[in-house]
Amino acid sequence: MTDPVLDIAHLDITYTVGAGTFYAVSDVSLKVFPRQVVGIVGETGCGKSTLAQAIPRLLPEPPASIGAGRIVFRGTDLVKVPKRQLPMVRGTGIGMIFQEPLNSLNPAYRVFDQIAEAIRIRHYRDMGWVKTFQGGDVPFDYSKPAATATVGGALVRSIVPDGALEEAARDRLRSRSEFRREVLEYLRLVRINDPETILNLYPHELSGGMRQRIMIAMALSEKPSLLIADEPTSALDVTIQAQVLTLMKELIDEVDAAILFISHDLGVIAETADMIGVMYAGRLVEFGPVAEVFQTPRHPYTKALLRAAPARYKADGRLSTIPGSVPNLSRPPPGCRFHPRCVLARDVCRGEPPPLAPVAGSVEGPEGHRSACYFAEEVPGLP
Amino acid sequence: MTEPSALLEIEDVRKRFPLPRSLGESLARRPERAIHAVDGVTIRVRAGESVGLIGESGSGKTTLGWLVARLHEPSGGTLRFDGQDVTHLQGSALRTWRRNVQIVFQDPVGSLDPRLRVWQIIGEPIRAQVGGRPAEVRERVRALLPTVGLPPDCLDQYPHEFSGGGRQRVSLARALSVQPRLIVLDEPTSALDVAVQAQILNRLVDLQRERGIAYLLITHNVAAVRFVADRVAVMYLGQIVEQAAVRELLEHPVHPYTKALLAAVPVPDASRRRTRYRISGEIPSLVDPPPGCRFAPRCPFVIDRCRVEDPPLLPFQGTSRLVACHRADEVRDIPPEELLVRDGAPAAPSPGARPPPAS
Repeated sequence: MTDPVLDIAHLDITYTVGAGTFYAVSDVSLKVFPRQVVGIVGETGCGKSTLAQAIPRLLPEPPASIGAGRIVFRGTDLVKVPKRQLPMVRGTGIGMIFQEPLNSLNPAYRVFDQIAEAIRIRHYRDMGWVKTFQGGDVPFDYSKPAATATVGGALVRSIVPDGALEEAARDRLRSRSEFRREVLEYLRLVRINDPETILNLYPHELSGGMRQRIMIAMALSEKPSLLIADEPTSALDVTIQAQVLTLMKELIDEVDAAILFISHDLGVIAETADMIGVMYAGRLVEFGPVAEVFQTPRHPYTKALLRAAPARYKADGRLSTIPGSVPNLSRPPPGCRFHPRCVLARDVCRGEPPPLAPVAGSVEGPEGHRSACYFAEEVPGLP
Repeated sequence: MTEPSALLEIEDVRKRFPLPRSLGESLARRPERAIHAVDGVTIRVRAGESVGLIGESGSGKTTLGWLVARLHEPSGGTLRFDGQDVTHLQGSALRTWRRNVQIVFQDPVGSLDPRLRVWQIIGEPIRAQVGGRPAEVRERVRALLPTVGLPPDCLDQYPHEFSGGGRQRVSLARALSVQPRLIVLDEPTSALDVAVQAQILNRLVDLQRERGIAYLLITHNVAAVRFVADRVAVMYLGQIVEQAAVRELLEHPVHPYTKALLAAVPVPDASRRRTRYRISGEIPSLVDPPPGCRFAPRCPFVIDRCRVEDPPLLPFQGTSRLVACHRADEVRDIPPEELLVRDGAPAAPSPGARPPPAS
């Protein structure tokens, strides 16, 4: 088995605001392997977006703070990166696609400049002009010029005047046609018809589906090894959503990246993800292969959520609901956070929170089906 | 051929929003351009019936809902309620009529005044229609709360103290407060999570059974329409393209757009996964749309006639279903799944080129 691209372990995230401390993410552990699509589902306020934004450290800290745990991305623990070095993490392999593309694109930039910015920064990193992390536990030290460390490099340095190499490279980047070609390549990758025209438009002149494709092109132009898609289709109409999902599915095969796909829509996750994680009130309550989780959920919450999806006519009787409501995360219930609404709840559920443990009959290892319920065996027998 | 039991009859109703012209354009006597948001829609809603209206954003369904509630002035067509022509009601007659039709707005945050308490919000239609002293209004509101599943002690709370589902219940209570005969529900559940959505949908159906209210449910959520509606109309670019009983429409769609819409809905069933969607293109602009079928640019079954001649909404093969498609008889038997490609399956030939199935 290859190493995971992303390895999150025992992550705790809290928000401290005037009203108190909110335990938004508690003890979440999760691994994403190369070329895998991991879907995270959950209701509003379950912490799934907090998790998505915490990975590239985009959360405003404060009010958010990462209390414990680690987020290891390609060997670097991002939790340990000090705040002033965070710009070095940006654009180094984690691409983000946000929910509302209009708010995430700069309204004063043409499409060309939106994408060119990402490409330009990638070039700067390739050239070593911008500080960046290269993986490993220690940040790469850019105070030592790596290019001149070799004999050949030193030789070139001695012949070519100081700064001329960089200047030459800068010239290459400055040529707009060079940029244009690369930007057009990415626009074609996301299946935009007539990219030469689109290039000169502003975000407000584009439709929602188009904007989302520009967002995807921007995220891909950094050549990420991990793509985080936070509700990428929720703001879109259903036929446009289907087009964007189709694009995402085709890109999964074309682009060599792992994808963390966050959505509240069970249908979207069922269609895209290989593995699915279900979050409830800040905890990961179930994780496993998508077909297995949808067919035989092993956590009462997953089961209830699947049953609540309305797929029946009025004549077929009432829709099933989950009694009670989502707990206030400033005072989460002790033990299993689902126990006040759970039909299986017993005394033990109010004590220690149940660990995310492999369910009986599932394969071992990261491909296995795990559930955070003391009575996971009884879940298939529930109505 | 008016059915006597029709509560609401909309006939060929239109709404145009003129675009502002620049001075230069006015001086050059350029023709005025307009957004044809609703373009000749005819729908009937019987008493106690719920009619679903599905379509994507920009299809004009919200505008139609506002026309029904007389929040927009129609640019053409007639609106009859209970046999009475209400298209041009004005002043106090309009105000009195309004108690018959109430509306639940799309945005549960923006449609509740943040500075009013719950009893004032819900009591506002009562005050406007029935009158009464504040204490009486408050008592009527208190009696109303259990019907929408709100706790009786929330009378003095403000909207921000509620979750999305709670706010939507307040909205619903406000619509119910004057005992309307028709409620226009504009995306009542699209801002809600699936578990909360199920609660609200159950409540809507219960209320209808208890009180015989008619609903016009406007949504893009096919699941909500399936559960609440008796009949469904599908709207595309300001026009109705298909209309039928809910089960018939969802299980055997005829119009290519209905098929496309239903095929696009992601289903929480991992066995259907990795299917790809074949309809391309986006909703075109509503500014002075060209002649012909409006779905023609995206339709996989398009023929030359579709680009020239507007298909009328006609009864389909002698059933109660109405379809606006020139090739309705030919495309009838193509299931929506045909518009999807399974992963790994060879790419099917262009469906436009496929021979029509024998019928």
